[in-house]
Amino acid sequence: MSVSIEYIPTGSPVHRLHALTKLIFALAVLTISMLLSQPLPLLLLFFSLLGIAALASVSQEILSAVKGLLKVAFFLALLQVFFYPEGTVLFAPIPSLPGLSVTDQGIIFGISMALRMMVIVTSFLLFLTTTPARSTVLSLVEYLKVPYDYAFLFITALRFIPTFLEEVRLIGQAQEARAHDFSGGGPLARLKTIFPLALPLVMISLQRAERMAMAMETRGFGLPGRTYYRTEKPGAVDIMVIVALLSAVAAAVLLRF
Amino acid sequence: MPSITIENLTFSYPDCSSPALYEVNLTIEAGEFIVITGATGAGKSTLLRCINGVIPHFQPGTLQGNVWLDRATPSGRVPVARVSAPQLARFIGSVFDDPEGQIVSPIVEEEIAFGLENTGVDPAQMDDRIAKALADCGISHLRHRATSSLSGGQKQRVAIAAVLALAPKILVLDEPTSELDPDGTEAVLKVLFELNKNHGITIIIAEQKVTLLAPLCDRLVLLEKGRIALQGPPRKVFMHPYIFAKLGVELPAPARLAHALVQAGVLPPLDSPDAPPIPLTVEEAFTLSRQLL
Amino acid sequence: MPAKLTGRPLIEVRQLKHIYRSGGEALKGIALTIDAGEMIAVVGRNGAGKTTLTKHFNGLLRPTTGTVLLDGQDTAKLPVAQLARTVGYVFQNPDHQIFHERLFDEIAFGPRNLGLRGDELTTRVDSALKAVDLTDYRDRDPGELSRGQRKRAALASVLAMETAVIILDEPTSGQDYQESEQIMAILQELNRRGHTIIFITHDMELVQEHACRVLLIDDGKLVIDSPPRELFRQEQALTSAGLRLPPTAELEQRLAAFGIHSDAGTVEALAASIARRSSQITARDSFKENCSGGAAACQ
Repeated sequence: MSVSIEYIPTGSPVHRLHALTKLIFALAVLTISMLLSQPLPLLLLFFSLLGIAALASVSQEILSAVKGLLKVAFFLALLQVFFYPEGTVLFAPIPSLPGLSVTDQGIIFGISMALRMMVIVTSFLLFLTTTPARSTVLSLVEYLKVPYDYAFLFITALRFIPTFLEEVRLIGQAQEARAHDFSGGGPLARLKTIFPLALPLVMISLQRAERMAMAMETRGFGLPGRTYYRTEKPGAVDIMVIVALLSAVAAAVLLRF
Repeated sequence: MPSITIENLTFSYPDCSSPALYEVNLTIEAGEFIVITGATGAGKSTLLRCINGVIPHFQPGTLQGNVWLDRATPSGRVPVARVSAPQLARFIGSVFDDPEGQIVSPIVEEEIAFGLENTGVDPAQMDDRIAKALADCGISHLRHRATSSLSGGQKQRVAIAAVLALAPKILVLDEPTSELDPDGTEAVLKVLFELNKNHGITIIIAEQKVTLLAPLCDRLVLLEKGRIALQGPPRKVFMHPYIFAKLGVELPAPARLAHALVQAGVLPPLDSPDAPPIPLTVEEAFTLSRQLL
Repeated sequence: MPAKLTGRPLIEVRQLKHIYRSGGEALKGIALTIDAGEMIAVVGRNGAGKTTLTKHFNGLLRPTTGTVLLDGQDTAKLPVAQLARTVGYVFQNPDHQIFHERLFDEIAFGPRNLGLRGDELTTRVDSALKAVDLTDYRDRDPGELSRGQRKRAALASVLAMETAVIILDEPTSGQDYQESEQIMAILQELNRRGHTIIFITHDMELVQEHACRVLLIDDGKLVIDSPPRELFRQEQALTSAGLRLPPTAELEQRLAAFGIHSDAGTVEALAASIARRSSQITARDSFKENCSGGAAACQ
């Protein structure tokens, strides 16, 4: 299963929305999907997400992720179907274990559960593929008052993922070249074979963190009165989308209760 | 006008019996291009770290003497140790040897903006300052690239541009080309030369190999076990091949040729009045040899 | 001692192509053979494919197409751990491998993986430590060593495996002059004892001084495969591959037009040759004699 969580710059109208709007969108979809309990509305919600993915020109990535999710969704549905206790029993695979019987409500609940999971994951994937990490973090800092230091940690972590993966590869090769066998034996032996990879990785990461701290502070990190390059303000479209999203959530709440 | 004045500087790392620097005195003029060299353990990096404030702000140890940063305040000079590391960023730009370990942002322009944001620059000015810093380093075309996709030489030029955006008077670089290939090395040195000549920025650089730097610099400082063993303009210090040999620093080939020509009896001793100046480049060595034929 | 003289090449590379999973073509069809006992430099700009090529010699990378034979056996069909008995590989950054708390154990890691125990292991480790001049640090924490020393420790950890072939990725980068000389002296000595040495470098003076054969890689292709002297005659190819002539070679070539015939690669030989030529010219001028031949013809 390959799930892309990378920002894909396509310049679509969805990309042009403010990060905050898209974050509210993902959270609104999450809330609504929790409030919906029938498969049909959830299915409609799911298809409208695919429509938005098309609008954002990220369909290909989202669809490949959805394909990967189908298996997980299937198992999730199956579990719910067998373990849901309420409703009319349609079928009992093992008569002595009434807890494992399949009920009409169980089927509906299982399918809804799976669809809900798909909806939530897809909406967040949509958010991640259409929003640069930096914009997300800056809007967290500006509008949700997340301290900059934490937000910065997150950006830096993203920046270092490729470096980290390259290091894992090189260390693995360096130990293999000294005839180390990473595939050896049972689970415990397996764990032991990881040491030659994990220890240099930890050492290198610590060194790097130290050097990074030095490089950052010698460039003024930590001074009071920090400013922000390219802070984006939500526009009229953003306000409209946010109002629409909040209304949808309110409607879902009213319908439910 | 001095830019950095080092007085009786002695520094010992924790748990080390002998000091890494011992009673170093050095005055660096504003606008000077100075190369610090010496064998491993001679104290190159330690000296640089005392200048850019990494010592004492990050590196513990025993520090005696002073590194004065001139014109840091309207009233005159101030010891580097008393200016906080982030404050120093406005005066001294630091570039380290590892291109990977000093880049913090995913995108080049964000990397340049990082220091500007930290020092509270008005966002309205940032685009211009980013553009200028990139242009001065000859990498305007990299502005929107992902930093992870750059070559080592490009990363080092991004690192230079990132500190340059803060308009420092001094650049301190610790072996900035040690991980680079010849093209990358050449590109980085060219940038440093231009920053020094066109913008009057003081360059202080530590390197193992001085062949490429000798024609660019005003002064070479050779360290030996934490002390200054020899310093002066490259043509002067290259008069002393035995000191280079003793210190384990390679004398560049053009200068070695001049000494070999003296040995072969076709040139007068290089310190005699009628001797030609020591060549620093292949071109100069060629001209010198040509004159003998 | 380790090199087997089977008559066939030790390493044979046939039409090797390597395409990364990301789609980049790193090697675009390379063919070469390496005999036992050679000392080879691999040069080229960063990203040219030098490391990608040499990692095929011990199976760290597998060919996308083509084959790499090690002593007649297809490396694609053998596990790296087995190839490691014949080919040692010293990585550029020693911190990518060092993880023990005692230097002895770090050096013993490879030989232990090869199944060595007891006295033989101790002997191997101690002689490797001696070769890189780190005997005094045998029981110390490698973390206490300087970067130059750690680099030599990484070399020792491969030496102790006593492989017929040793590959080194930039063995002298970040080292000072004396440390570089020391590392190259170790490699020369290993080569004299029959080991095949393959080193990647940007330092053309190192190539000039220590390599018998040089492979110039550019853009995934083997552009030149020749002795260093012949490579240095092809300045165009060298610069377009992102490299520079070593200063002495450049001087030798530029002075050749003035009757200086020196290709020893040292400034001393060059100065002697200039002195000889200079005295000939003085003599010629005094005898008003015209000499059309080279320096040798005049003697």
